[in-house]
Amino acid sequence: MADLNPGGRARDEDGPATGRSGRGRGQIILVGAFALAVVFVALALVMNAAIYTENLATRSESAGTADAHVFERTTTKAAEEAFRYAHEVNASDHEGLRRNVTQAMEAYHNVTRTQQAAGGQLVDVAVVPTPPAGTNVTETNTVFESPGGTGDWTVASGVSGTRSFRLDVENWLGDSDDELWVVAGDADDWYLNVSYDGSQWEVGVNDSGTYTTCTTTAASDVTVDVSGGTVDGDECEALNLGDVGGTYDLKIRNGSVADGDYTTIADVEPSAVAAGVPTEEVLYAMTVELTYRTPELRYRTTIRVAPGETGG
Amino acid sequence: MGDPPPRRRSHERRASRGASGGRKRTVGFGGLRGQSTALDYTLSLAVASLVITGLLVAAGDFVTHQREEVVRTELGVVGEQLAGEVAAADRLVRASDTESLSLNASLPETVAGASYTVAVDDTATGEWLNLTSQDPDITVSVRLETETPLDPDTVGGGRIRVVYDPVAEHLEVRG
Repeated sequence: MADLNPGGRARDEDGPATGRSGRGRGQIILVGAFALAVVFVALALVMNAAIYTENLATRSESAGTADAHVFERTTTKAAEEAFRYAHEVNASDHEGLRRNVTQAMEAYHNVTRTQQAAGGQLVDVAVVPTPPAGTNVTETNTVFESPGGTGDWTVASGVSGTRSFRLDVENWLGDSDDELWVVAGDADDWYLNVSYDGSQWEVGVNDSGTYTTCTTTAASDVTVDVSGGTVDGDECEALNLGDVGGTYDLKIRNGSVADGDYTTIADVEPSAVAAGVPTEEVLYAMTVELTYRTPELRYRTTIRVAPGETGG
Repeated sequence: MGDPPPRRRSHERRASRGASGGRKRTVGFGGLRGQSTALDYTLSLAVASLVITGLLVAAGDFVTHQREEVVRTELGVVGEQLAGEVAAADRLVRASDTESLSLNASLPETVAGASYTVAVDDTATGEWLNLTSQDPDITVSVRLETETPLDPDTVGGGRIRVVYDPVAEHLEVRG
């Protein structure tokens, strides 16, 4: 210890008291220096933690959910395009359409699987077998009565869902107190009412006994988008046919009071549609199962494609 | 008080050194030098102790204060990171009909050497992540908003999972 004191050796020669004094001061300073050194090491560790915090703050989310989100959106878009393409180029029966969309999504899966694997992600995309059948019912420039000329008739039976359901009433053939109804199930459940008093159209909805007027307009014709929930482009919340639960018959009452166009895609076979009405076989919807896995993320979802469906 | 002045002493010292050697010199000035050394020793010891103690206390307080600040900042950063992960999970869940979702949030086990817990709280003012460190005892609250309900729970810091329960249709933060 004496060697750490610069004056230690010289003072030792002067006597034991002087030597002890030198040693004592050296020890205190030394111990203090060690203690301070420990404190500074602790301070360095704290500063290190602060730097790590700054580093942590600059990181983006670590689980890669953004990549999963991108893949989900990409797959949804691919499924929608495959669905649309199948109906555009393959105007065949239900089986042909199912085969077409399934093969398209398999091709998409084979491409993306390799791409995603290169980035460390395992993905699986598959169409749920047997997409539900649908029937497109479209008539233009027609009186809204059955092919047999009946005003009250059933368009389709056993319907549980419709999409792209639109009604364009162009000319009024009845009296001012007549009403054209589109009924889902029973008139007590849900019906759409269109009437014309000679100058103005009125569109309203009766949902379980509650009648709501959507709009009144003096336009030359009125377009009711039932699936979109709009009348002449203006929103009408009561036009929600999706709230009618279970299966129902889609009917028209007093169809002979007006003419125009109507179109809908119902989730039924063509045989469930009234005879004589032009139909086309389509797929009502398609469901795709998607699985996305990384070491940090496990994601499994189903993508439903049903263009023009309420809320879709 | 009749001691000779320093000048004379040094003069005598030089003279005695030449005449009789070291032993006599020590005996001749031992008492005077002993008093001076004892006082010097005590004063030096006291001053050195005061300085060292003051430095230690000041540095210790400084380090403690800095550590608390770092813990508070890091808890805030960790909370924001976790809130970001939960919000990202919420977006992913709402993107489509999610059947299952589980993501691992890689968060530090400790903040500046202190372990911590994360409490998920759903109050009238919104959803909160309350992060509390054990030593020092510091709590930092981070607010987040999710469309999917968030299940209240308390988990330890470190490896945290955000899980979606498709039956109850809510998000959970699990340890």
